[in-house]
Amino acid sequence: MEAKLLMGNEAVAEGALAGGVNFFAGYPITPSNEIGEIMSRRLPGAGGKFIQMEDEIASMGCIIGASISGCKTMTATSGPGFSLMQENLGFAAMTEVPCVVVNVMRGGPSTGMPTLPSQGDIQQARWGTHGDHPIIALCPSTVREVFDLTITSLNFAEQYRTPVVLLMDEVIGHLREKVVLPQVESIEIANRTQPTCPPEWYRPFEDNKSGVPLMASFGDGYRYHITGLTHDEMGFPTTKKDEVTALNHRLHRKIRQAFEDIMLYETFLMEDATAVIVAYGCVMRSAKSAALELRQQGKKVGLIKLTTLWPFPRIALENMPEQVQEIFVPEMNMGQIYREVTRVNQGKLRVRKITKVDGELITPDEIIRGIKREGADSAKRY
Amino acid sequence: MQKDIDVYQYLRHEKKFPLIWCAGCGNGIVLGSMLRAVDSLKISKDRVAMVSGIGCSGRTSTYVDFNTLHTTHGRALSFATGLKFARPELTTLVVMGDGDGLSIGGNHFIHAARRNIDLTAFIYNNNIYGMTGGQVSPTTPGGKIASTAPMGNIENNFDTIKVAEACGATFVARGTTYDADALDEIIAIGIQHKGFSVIEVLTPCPTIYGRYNRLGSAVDMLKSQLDDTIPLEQAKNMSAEELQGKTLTGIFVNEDKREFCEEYEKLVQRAQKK
Amino acid sequence: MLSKKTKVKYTEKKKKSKYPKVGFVVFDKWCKRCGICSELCIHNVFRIDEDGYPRPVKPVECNLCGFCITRCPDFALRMIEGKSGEHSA
Repeated sequence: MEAKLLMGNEAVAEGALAGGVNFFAGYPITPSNEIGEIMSRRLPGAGGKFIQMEDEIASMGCIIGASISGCKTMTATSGPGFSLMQENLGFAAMTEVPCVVVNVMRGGPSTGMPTLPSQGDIQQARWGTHGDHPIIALCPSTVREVFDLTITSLNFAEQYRTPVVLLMDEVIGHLREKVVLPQVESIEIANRTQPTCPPEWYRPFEDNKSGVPLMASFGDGYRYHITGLTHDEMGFPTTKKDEVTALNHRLHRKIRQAFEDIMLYETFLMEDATAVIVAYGCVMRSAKSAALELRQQGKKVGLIKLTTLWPFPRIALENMPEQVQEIFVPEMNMGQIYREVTRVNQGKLRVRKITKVDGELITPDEIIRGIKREGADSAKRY
Repeated sequence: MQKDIDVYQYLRHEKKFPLIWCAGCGNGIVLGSMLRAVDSLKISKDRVAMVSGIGCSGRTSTYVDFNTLHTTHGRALSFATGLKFARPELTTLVVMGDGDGLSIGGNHFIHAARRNIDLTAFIYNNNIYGMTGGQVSPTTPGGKIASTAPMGNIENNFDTIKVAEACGATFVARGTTYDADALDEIIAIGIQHKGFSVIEVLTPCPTIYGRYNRLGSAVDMLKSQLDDTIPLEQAKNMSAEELQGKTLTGIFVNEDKREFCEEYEKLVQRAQKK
Repeated sequence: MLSKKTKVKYTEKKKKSKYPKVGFVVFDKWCKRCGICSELCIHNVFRIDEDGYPRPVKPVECNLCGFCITRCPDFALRMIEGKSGEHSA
């Protein structure tokens, strides 16, 4: 296929259409607007459905409703909108409704800096909604990766019946890159498993080996009940201890036992590295340049690029080469993934964070100076 | 007799009964009306979806043998919009309470009405938040007692009918649990109506609202609906003085306007021609 | 006394009625004893027993208006045509 000049947000829309999205609900918010705009142009022609809702709460509710009636659904938003979506995101996790939420992260807290990037919603994606539930969050670093991960998000959502958050940042969302998109035929698409049994045998939330129950669509003849209340196998509210425990454990188990499939990460220059940079999203681009630059200067620096952020890909850090002494975590927040890295590292290696929250991208220079502990930068090393 | 025969086939009576509601609560009466209306229209159970919010009314969906979705507080209409838009062939009933639909879900209510999407929205109006213990709701009349208005409500209350009408709902009606027969008909017309239908049902809450405001037993409250309401046709010939303090019932709005799902279908055809 | 768990059937046997014979079934398990059916019946078909449950003592008076059935908030009341013992709900 020929190369195209694509923006990150455009790549989300392309990925969504290639990945089979046929229902999109959204509400305008900078810097994710292009995604909704493109979907509104493209979906009707493709036979899909687009609707602009009255707010993000409704957008999230709307895609859950559509997913329950069998559509592949997505919404796109940014920080404040993501906060509004949390309630229904929790509903989707509890009722195991596949859907994808794209969060193009902007400067926070609160309204913050709508047109400037940050990576401030990482922990929110994990813990933003009440109750203890697992979630999947992915984070792309290049425009091509945006396309791929949009499809992966959709696949994960369908395979594991869970909401998936695609955590982009404003830099990636508005970055234009030359991209060669894959052939449509080569794209793997996963769909939810639907029941084939007679309706009277169907147990909508029955456990099985994968922990992912079969999902019937409303209107297909399997009349059943879906509720955000803690429910039994038939979907009806329950407070019986064994049923409550079983549900909560299954929700976690279905993601935990698929950890290896879900955990995506890449390593560069790790064989002989003594210092390792752990980076994700747009910061990974600076980190890669910094690592190459430092190597030229004689410091053996490796790089771990996290693609899956939740569940946290701890395997990436657990299989560290022996000679590694230090880990650096550059981030555009006050150290959200740093917390995870120290948690997984358990005090074995020295972990340093390099943070920057002024609405600008961390430059390779700043990472280099952070690693060398030089100078007073806007990027602070702690 | 015909009133009796068909309701039970729509209930999950082997699983979820008895109902969770208090003795004398009107919610069960509305549910009965709804089921008789669905039965009279001969719609297959597989083709009916019921979406409900949170609160006493929210539990309605648990009891009926349709495709049922019990959502988050106030968001029922947004879920229902997704459901209906994705599958326009489903008859979608949305069950909300007065607090659920008009307070926390007020924004969704306004916009679903404006959009004129073919949903049938029920507002169970018991003038109070029942499930949480009797807090003041947007339909609690001025001066009435609630657990968070112990000295009387100082706010003004919503008139659901006017709100719905102003927002562009194309079918707006009010019924009472006392006159369940009229309610059956209103609901049947509402379901058949193409567009956003709002049906407000006055339903007594004897356990909480009734007790706080000394309105007597469940029977007294139900009977008082007869005295406090006047059908629209009858009201036409009455003076303003006679109508003082009375609530009107009946079908207030029933008009045709372009419906969202149909318009979208046309848009798809236009887009695909290009 | 009748067990609350059993479904109780009553029909009028003696008196002739201009209406078809009718029986009532009260699901005691579902009935919450709100009293709506008995209070609102204009023919006083029901009487409340010592436990508060409605008992159809004069079903022969019933004119089949269905008011009690449609206003029962708990679906605990059914009206059944014919003689006693012929129907189970």
